Amino acid sequence: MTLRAGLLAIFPGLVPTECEQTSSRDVSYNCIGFAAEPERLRWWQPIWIPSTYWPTEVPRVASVAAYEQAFATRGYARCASELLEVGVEKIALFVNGHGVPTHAARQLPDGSWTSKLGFEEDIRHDLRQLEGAAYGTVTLFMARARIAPL
Amino acid sequence: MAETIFSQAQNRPLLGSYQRTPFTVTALGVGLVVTLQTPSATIVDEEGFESLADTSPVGSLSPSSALQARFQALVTQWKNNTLRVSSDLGEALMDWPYQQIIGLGPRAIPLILDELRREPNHWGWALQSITGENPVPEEAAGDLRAIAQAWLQWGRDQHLIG
Repeated sequence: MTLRAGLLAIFPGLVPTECEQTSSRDVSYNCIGFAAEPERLRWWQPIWIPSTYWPTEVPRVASVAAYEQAFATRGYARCASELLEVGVEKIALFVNGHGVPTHAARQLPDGSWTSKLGFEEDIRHDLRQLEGAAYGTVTLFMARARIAPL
Repeated sequence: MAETIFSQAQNRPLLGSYQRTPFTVTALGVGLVVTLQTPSATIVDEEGFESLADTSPVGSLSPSSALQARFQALVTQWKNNTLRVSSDLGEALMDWPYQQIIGLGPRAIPLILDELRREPNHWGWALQSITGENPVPEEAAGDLRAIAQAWLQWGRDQHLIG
């Protein structure tokens, strides 16, 4: 499915021929839940609202350290780069100019990335094409062993 | 017995009514903080004071057509405003139409439950704000479908929906 036109205004770095929409709009989960735990889609956010999930052992703070701890509860550990490694699943955390996490993307087996865009759709994209005013820049990579599909 | 609640800001009676329910309702609105504990009382936010004047008999939670129209307009506006790529739910819940829905008070509860029945969405915060209740089990945190089921069951237990 091709990208809707409005996305290009928000993410001017997106190259339409290199991206695709992979789901319809769904308000029930966000990018963090989609990256951390795709097998159980939930809205992950460190705020005290019942419609959000946050691992109980992690401080409810909007910081890179807290997000790193949250991803670690699902087996992710900090790694050096976005380079594709066989048998490894990676995530990338975007941070704005104030140091606040804004977005997370997950690497697919072919090296492309997938993201849930806020309240909107999922897309497949090149990682760096989402950098910019909306999400800031990628500042953290984490990795875990990729579970082979059944 | 009906109780008339007065606006703190203008010392005028608020219009509408709600049915006796076994829970305590706290409503927060612009310039208005009221806790209702009596069997029958009235509440309409000051923003919609004139347009939402409800002449239905005391003792009913059935929303008036004006209230239904107002609610649907706010829902549409909020959904349009949440056509966004940010994952900050707090920002979405502070959005003005969502806050106005909370400000509609107890009469909006059946309408919100109906909305939840149609499509899971982040209505738990509005319901919790209006009712002071939270029927959502801890293990359902972040799972909108499970949260919707918990609130719908609460609505059935309160005889607010069928």
